Amino acid sequence: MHKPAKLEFHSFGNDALTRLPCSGQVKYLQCYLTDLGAITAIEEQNYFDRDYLAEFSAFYSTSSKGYKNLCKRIHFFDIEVKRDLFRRAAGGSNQAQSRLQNAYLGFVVIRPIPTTPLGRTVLRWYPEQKPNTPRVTVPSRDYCCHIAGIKLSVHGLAWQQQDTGVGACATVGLWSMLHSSAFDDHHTIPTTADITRAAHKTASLGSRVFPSSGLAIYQITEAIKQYNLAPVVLDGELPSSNKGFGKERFSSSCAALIRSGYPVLLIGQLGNLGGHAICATGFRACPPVSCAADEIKIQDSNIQYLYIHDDNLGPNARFRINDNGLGNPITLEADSPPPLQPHQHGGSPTTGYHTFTPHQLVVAVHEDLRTSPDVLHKAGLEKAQILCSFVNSFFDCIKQSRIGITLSTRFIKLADYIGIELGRTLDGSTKELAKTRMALYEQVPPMSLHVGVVRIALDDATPLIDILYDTTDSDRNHPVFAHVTYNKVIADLIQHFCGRDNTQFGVKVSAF
Amino acid sequence: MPNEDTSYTLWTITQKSWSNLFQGSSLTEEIAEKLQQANCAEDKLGSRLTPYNTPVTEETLRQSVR
Repeated sequence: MHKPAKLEFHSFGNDALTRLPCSGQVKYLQCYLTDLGAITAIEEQNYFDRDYLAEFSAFYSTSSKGYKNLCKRIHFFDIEVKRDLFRRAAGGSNQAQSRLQNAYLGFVVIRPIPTTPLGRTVLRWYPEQKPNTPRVTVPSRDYCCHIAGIKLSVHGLAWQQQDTGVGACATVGLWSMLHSSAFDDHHTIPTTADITRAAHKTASLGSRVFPSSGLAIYQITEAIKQYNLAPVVLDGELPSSNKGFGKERFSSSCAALIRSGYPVLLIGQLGNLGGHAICATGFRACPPVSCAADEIKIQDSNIQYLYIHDDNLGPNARFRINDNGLGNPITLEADSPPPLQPHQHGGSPTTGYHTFTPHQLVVAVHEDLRTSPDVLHKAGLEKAQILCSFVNSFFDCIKQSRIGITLSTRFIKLADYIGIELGRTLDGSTKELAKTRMALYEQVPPMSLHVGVVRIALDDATPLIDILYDTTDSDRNHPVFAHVTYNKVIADLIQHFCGRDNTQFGVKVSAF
Repeated sequence: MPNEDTSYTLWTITQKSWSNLFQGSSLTEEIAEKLQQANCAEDKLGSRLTPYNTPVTEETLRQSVR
């Protein structure tokens, strides 16, 4: 029978994480928490974890080993937390509660599985140092924990170690994907046991469900469909002799999807070890690079870093995207930033980690979103080229130097585009903002819940136009709803060349 | 840490940082007439779109990930 147990307060480094058998994942978490400035660990000795209970019910409960159904949960703080402060917070002191919340770094669930003890883990991101070219972590969400009536929340995306009993690397990658903030109003987050069952429900072909040694890609996509979401698969464009993705398509597709709130499951080859799946949850945004006259560039093709949940390492591991030249596939290489604090745990496990070559991208998107990132990028490149021709013909007439332009794409809820995105872009221009928002509501035919946005800009990022695409039609049709122009010359040029035919750019909305 | 990041992305730039490349320019009737002769239909993308047309094969879907 389970027994009551007191909360334990430890200094970071003398906690239950340190007492686990040494592994790459444990070392990674220790290094990550050291850089977050962890000072105190509070251990809940008795914690029923929803995910582990599902694993226990599906697999461990019938093992003769006698696994327990109870986990530990460790909470980390970047200040010294003593029992007295915690007691005051539990007694309702707002000051003590906000002190704990401000210092909260996240939690790690320790499962009673000796070989793979690291369960659901959510840790805060490192503080942002470059707000203009930020880490884009849209899939992250808030997780709330309750300890003795104290509510603590952390913003991140859940990671866990694969146990191979209930889930393999593809399962835990898919599990992290389905935690995305994009699905907050869509479903109850499934457990790894739910996902493995869903993968076998319609596509088992006779293989056993548990223990799970892996999934085929069609099983991953079938599991996504079981949750009323739609799978999108992108295959590397390079030939099978040199399988993988070129830099532009890989980087711009990952960026467009992550910026839209959709984590990306990367499937490929890990060194010489064989197939592996990891989950990209963020990237470091990059500014556009300068364009020669008439040149069209996709801003996100230059991103350097992806942040990845790898079950061999841990959450938010930084990987550099290596461009290996034309015709060669890009590779991903673990490249953690230099430690902010001296590490007491030996070298980081990311040092010397195998190079990963992505072959496929698998993504879960909302069912009503029927446009693929490939189609949006093609449309963006085509429209950017048309617009560049218009502008440069105009510049030829007024004897001004020709320019090149840049673009970026994303999917976004219409309400967020009109509310958040336009609000940020037109910040400080109350009149223009009101006019643009009203025009989008009153002059454009009804738009879909999610829209595809192509933003075309100068190579210093000054926006020229946003083109809003319907995402609910087939890729062949791919209708345009509207274009929002930020400049009168651009609006006039489109009007001049396209006239009243709004099938190319849609309804004109002026944001100037 | 001081913020030395002076570049913007297409999604972080705000109006006060926009450049004014088009300031003082407008599409007058005279320019509009000249533009009638401009050839804006030239396709300069060439094979650039090819990677975005990659199909997903049955063989791909059958691959196992362990």
